[in-house]
Amino acid sequence: MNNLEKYNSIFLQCFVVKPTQLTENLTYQSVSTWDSVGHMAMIAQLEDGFGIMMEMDDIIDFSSYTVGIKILAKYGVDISLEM
Amino acid sequence: MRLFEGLHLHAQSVALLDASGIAMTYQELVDQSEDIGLLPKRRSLILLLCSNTVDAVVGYVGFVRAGHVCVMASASLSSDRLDNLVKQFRPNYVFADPSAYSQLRCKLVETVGKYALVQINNDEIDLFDELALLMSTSGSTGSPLMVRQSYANTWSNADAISRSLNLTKSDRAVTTLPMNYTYGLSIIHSQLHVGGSIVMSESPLTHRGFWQTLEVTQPTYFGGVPYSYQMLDRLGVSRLSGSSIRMLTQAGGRLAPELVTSVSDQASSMGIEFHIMYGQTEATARMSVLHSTEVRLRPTSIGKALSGGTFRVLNIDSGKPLGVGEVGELEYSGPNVALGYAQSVSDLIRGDDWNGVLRTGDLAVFDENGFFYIVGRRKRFVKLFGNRVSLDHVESHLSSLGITAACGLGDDVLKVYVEGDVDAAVALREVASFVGVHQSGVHLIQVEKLPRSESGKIEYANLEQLTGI
Repeated sequence: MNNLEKYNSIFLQCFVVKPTQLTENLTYQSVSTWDSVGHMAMIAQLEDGFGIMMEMDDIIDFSSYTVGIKILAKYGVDISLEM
Repeated sequence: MRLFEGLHLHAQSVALLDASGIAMTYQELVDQSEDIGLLPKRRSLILLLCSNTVDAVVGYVGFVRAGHVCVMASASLSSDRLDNLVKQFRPNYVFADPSAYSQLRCKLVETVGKYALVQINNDEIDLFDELALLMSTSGSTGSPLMVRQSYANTWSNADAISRSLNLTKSDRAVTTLPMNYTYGLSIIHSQLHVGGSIVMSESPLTHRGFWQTLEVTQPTYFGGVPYSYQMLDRLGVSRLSGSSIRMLTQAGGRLAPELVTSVSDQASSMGIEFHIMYGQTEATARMSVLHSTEVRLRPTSIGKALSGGTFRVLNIDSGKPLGVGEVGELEYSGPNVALGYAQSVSDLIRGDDWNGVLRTGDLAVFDENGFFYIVGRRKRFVKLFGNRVSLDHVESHLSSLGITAACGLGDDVLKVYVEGDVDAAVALREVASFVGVHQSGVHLIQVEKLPRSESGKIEYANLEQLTGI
């Protein structure tokens, strides 16, 4: 599984959304499953999945599917280039 | 005494702020809430679909001051649950953001900001004189069981809470819990009781917006449920260093002792108080406090009863009071014990069923210094992210879908044991949506057979030993 697939599968599983919903419109609280509990569950899975430990500022700035890709890049997780 | 009677005494002080810091004074709150509260001519039943907004509080204060009875529910209630609530209680009016009740047939009466007061019937409802509020026993899950709270209940609890925490009019709370959740509402009540202010924020701790609001509005405290402190601990309590926060409170279920100690140590190193409280909707909101200075010494205690209240530990069979170190059911008595339950509109004429005495359903002990400790639970429910979830409810819902299940006790996670060949993903989604929590709060364990006695009853004590297939 490449990084994009791993990233996507965490979103699909955590927020119970369809693959077609994985766009810039998938933002915090845009679906009922992305609440504060879902948010922290996603962060925990990203940290486990990519072997990283995220800073507080990045956790609270992680406001959408696309913003998340940029944040993970700071931790050396390259997602966007693997299309 | 009634809540909100003395608002005019603080006329020029700030009462409410929105998340961006726009302030409303007590005088403005009195004027605007009177405008809306006096519109229903007869004493009415009003369903309030709550959000943490200034508009919602203005309406709420107005209705309570004018003597109407509010049914408190969440603005994000699903349309099915909203329909059921309306059928059950037949409210005369709904006060909500119109997007929250689009399916209702109604007549617009007046608007307050984004909120609108609409009339859905003109029925005459028999309402007990002292009845002020109906609160759900389960917060977000929209349980059909509501608690009837009186004017005296809400006033006395707000008074006791503000005394025990030494709240003053220079205190400013920021909302972190829903207004329709007893603990959240009690923070609003106690702030308005002392002439302090409240920042109405809808951002969770995990959102940048919350921390921006903190900087802009400079609140002095907020409350949290166990999950809030798990998040805060993960984010780093030190984030509050140098902020305006002077105090944190924790209630809404048991916080793991190691987290109590961790949060308490970090908070005290920054000069922030961290108080632990215990409560139930049946006691309006809160019953006890473990003061910040005691938390480090007794991290597993719920402290002592608030002023005006008394705890006793009773023998489960005989009901006789027990002594130091003996386990029994915790009983609370005090002026904040609610009137009783309500399951339909016909219950609203009922008087005081409980007479100030509440059997909490929790098993407790107390030590030689008079500190109380919860050690278990008699009733079959769990606390999930601060909300009470009835296990019988979950089981009967799954049974109606043809799934045989048994739920295990435990804090902060709902353990559901499902029997036989069931689509686990479907069952998990059903349970999470039924109790209104994220799926990570539900652990689904598939088993071949649930443990049963000879008579076929599920043996809950043996559930823990089961491992999934």
